[in-house]
Amino acid sequence: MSSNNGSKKDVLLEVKGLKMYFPITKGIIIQKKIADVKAVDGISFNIKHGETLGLVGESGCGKSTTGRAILQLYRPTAGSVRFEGKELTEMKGETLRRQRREMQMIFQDPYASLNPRLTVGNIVGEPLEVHKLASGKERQERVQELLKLVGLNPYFVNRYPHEFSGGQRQRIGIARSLAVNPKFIVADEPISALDVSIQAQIVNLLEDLQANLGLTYLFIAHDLSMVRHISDRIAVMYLGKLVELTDHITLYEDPLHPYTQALLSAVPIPDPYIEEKRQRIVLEGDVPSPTNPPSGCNFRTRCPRVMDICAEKDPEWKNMGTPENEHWVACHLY
Amino acid sequence: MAAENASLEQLGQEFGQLKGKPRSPMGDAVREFKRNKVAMISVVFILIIATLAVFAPFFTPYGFNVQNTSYARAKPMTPYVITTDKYELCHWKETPMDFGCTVYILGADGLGRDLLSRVIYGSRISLLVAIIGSSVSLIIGTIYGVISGYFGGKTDDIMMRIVDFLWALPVLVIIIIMTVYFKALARAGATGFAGFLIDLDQAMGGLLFMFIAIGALSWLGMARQARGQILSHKKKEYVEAARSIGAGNNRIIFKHLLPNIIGPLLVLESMAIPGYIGLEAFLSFIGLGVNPPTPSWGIMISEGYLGIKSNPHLVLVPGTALTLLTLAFNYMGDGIRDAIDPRIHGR
Ligand SMILES: Nc1ncnc2c1ncn2[C@@H]1O[C@H](COP(=O)(O)OP(=O)(O)O)[C@@H](O)[C@H]1O
Ligand SMILES: [Mg+2]
Repeated sequence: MSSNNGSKKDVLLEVKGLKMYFPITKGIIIQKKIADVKAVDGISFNIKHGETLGLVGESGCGKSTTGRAILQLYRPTAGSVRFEGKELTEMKGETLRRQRREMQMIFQDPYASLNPRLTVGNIVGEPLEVHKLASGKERQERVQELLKLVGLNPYFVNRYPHEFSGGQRQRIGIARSLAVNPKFIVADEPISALDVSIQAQIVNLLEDLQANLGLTYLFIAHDLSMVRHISDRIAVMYLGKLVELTDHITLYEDPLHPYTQALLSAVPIPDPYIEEKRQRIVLEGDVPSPTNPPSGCNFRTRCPRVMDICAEKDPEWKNMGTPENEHWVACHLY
Repeated sequence: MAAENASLEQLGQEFGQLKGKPRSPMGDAVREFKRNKVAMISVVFILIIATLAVFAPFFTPYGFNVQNTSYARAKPMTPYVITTDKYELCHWKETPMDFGCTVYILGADGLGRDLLSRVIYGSRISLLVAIIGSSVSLIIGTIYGVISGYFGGKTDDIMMRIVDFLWALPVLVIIIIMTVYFKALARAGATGFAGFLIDLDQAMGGLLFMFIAIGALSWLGMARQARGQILSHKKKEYVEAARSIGAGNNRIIFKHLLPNIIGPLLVLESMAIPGYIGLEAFLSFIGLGVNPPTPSWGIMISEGYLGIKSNPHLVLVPGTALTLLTLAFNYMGDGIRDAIDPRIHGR
């Protein structure tokens, strides 16, 4: 399996052959493994310093698992995750704990991701406490600074999460992730639980923060319309595997993989004339179970352009673009 | 300073304001509870009983063991030989029963012991059992359940199979057999560890075996509940968030999980207290609990029930006390549940 070329220098994160299987076991005390949920099944990509990589796919295709496996919240079954050249999958204990200062996560559900028993000040200040970065008055001031940074009233430190709206809570979560000055943030569908009117505000905030703090994002979303504006490059995922990866302009103008084409056809176009004429590709059937994925190309059961070879061979992950403008795709059509 | 405040206020306008004071989930629950009249009355009732129990010597007209057989089975509120001039001399602390100014407010038992005094002293046993039962089950049950649920896997499997096993045992029957056996040993005179246990039990007025019984029975349910709560919370994103910022197991358990699961556990515990009180009364009733002459409501009922037809008050007095205290704990438990519940189910 080949990986993205791109000059090694500006690569922040390098993922190679990442697999995350969850065993399904049977029996009590003496357990037997009967199958695996292949949530992530061998994916490779790079993220460069200061860029945003969008990761898109239907729900259940393994996006969150990818994010968590990168951050070592789940320990990957196989593959390598290198962060600034350091192998994360081999880190343990205190080393890993210290490494967490560099990489943070923003969660999907702004209601479940904040401990209802803690004040906003304690939530945002916890990373400072855990890593002993600031205490007492200094911590208080830093927390207020962080709240201002994400557009919240610094007077809110003594409030509890349930007093806030979804958008405000998401800002609290963002402030928490920024407390340790991370370089890299996995944003796991940070806007899908929010009202449409709030979504743009949060995306703008994330963009501002990226510009001011030089952050690198892995931005996860379940449809292409959400990642369009914020992403530099976009990776499309289906059933634990990447099917296509290229820069955001190429992906929208020249999608190669039938699955990407289907996803794109579902994105509304703001021009009523084109909107009326465009063809929707409706995918038949359901996403197969990740416990028992189809042989060969795992999209073949729903692919409108399926061929005989698709059942027999895994499609190769190859670059259809140029070394400068990479366009990776895994499909037997190419 | 003033300028800084002004700019902060400005910020406030920019960023939006929140009304009122900060509302902590705990504060909300307390406020909710205080609004519940029945629960508050129950708490006051329990506090009164607790005060009576602690300061029993000050509130009881007589010692629980002072007998005056000529007044055996006296009916409630029967004044005995009250004369005006003697009444002047009466002071309830210094007056023994034969001074002539005696009023058995709730009557007297078969040995002429004042029932009011005995029922007040008896509350000590009931409350002690409530405290011991709930602390044993909360402490052991919670620790056990949290370890089992948090670490999961094989640890969880083994720990829960042990609970299942104990749950399936007829623990009460075993305790009864064990107690009967020990009491028989005590009469025969025993040495060694059994002798030590028997001496300890004697010193505690027969409470040791009771505590063992209640302790052994009470923590199983709590352990299951605590484990269930941990399982449902440890997958939540706020726990994952804590892990992602680098928090360790101790911090996650004590700062994040325990504060979130303790509410439902307290509800369960307060619901279980009437059971402990009832169990004590039952064991004492069948003669396996507290040793006479220590008064316990169960013993008082067992001493009175044979003559229930002619002297119903001998059963009614301890029976009513038992019922009222049990009801009060039940209503308090309901109140805690109602106060905490809206916070458990989201919001
Ligand atoms: N902790 C877990 N244990 C077992 N299966 C899991 C676990 N987490 C996720 N999965 C499974 O892995 C697959 C991918 O899940 P997820 O990464 O959450 O998808 P997405 O974020 O794309 O919606 C799903 O089938 C899900 O059921
Ligand atoms: Mg997800």
